[in-house]
Amino acid sequence: MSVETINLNNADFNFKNEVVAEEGGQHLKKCFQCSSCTLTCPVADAGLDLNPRKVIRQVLLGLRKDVLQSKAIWQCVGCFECTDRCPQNVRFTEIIEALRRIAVRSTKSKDKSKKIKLPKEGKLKHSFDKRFRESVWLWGRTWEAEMIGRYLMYGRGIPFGALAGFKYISMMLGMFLKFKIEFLPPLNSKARKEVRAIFKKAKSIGE
Amino acid sequence: MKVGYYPGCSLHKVAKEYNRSIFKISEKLGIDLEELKDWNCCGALEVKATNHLAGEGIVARNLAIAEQQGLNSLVAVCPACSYQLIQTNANMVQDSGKAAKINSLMDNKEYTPDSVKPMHYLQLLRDEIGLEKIKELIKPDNPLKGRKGVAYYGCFCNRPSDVIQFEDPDNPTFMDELINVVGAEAQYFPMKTKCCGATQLLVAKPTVETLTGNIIVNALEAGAEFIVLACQMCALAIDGQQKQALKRVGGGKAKIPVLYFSQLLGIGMGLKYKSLGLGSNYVSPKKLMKPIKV
Repeated sequence: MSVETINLNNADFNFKNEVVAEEGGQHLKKCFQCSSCTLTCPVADAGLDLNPRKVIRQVLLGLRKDVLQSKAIWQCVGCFECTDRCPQNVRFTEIIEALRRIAVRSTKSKDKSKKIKLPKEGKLKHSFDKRFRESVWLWGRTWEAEMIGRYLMYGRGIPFGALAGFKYISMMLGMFLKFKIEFLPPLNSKARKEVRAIFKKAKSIGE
Repeated sequence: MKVGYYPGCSLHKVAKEYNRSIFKISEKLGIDLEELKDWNCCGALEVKATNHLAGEGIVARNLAIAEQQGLNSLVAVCPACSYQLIQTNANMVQDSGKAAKINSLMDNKEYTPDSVKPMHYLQLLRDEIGLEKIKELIKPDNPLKGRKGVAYYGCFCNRPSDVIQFEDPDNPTFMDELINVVGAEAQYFPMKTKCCGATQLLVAKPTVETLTGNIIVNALEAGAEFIVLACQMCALAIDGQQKQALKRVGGGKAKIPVLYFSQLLGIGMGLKYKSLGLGSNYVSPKKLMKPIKV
């Protein structure tokens, strides 16, 4: 087993405070690196890159770019198993959400040392989240046909990216044959108006 | 007994058989489900992932509607919805400053924390109805008698356990008890709480297929003839993607029917195949409907 050298020359020692200030990251500093989260993580079990213990250590050391540009934070499936097993109540699933929000914000950062690029996995997942939110904003409830359609179009890049949707054809066809795809939008003007008002106010408070 | 019912976005079409069977068994059990008026999406995990405050605001709106309608308890059958409702209610009880902030988002509604008790339908069955009452309604000669089944709980039925406070997160047993009540035999199933990853189905399909495949192979090894679950997203992965998932992990060509717990109870109560929407399940459960020969 080789030992990895960590270069701390470009470390941002304020990064951990930034995560703690974000909603959901409050318990970050309680972590004592016992690795219970990694042992129970189904994604790590399937042989992917995600290693919760390592992510927390990187955040505490201030390896800002390494964390925010990694695939790892976008591969979490949000099953709350690590949150449940953690003896210190660090709530890693919420930390992952906080890290994702910081990563998305940093792509538009004007400060050059803080600007990052999202990996391919990150772009896809963020695109999906965005389509979901837009669908809620548009109709008050999600309309799967519209949401998935727009995700396949924009999420993978127009025009050829949309062709990547062929992977999902068997799934869509299955749903279609069982009459499980809604072709009409969920029309409920009261829910729609009030949800839009909530989104608008939350955005103004956030800024 | 009157309870509020929050269906959630997928129950009207993507999982219509779940919705239909829930109403059928509620009728038999004497539960009067009252759907919320003008409910909106709970935002699942995705809205919170982009804007946390807005995510909590839209959940609080549903709770406020339930309070306006004078309901004491609110059941959701989608575990992601019930998790969001329980989590937001708990957050507002703990932190009154946060509650005021969330309430200020809504123009003409206000939610008093803890005035409505949100929960999953399974919790209602366990705490308010009880196994004894269910047992009285089960027909002794139902086709599931003597068959072997496994119960799959997934993530949000029990996790995070400090928020949901329903069952032991490592070894939940209530759905196993439901299987036994119907007359089938619940098998030992180690992967009952492992995640199937269905929330990432459109983003990282290979990961989901690996996770789902492992669960199905484990169920087959346990000798199960059917899987019982309580989440329409899990059903989309375990039922809808079964063939691809088994192919991914090299699990052969087996086909195992997947039932919702409401369909399981419905079959046990002798309700009709069509009224439970069993025809809409991806893997046909028709072979379960004939009594086994001894």
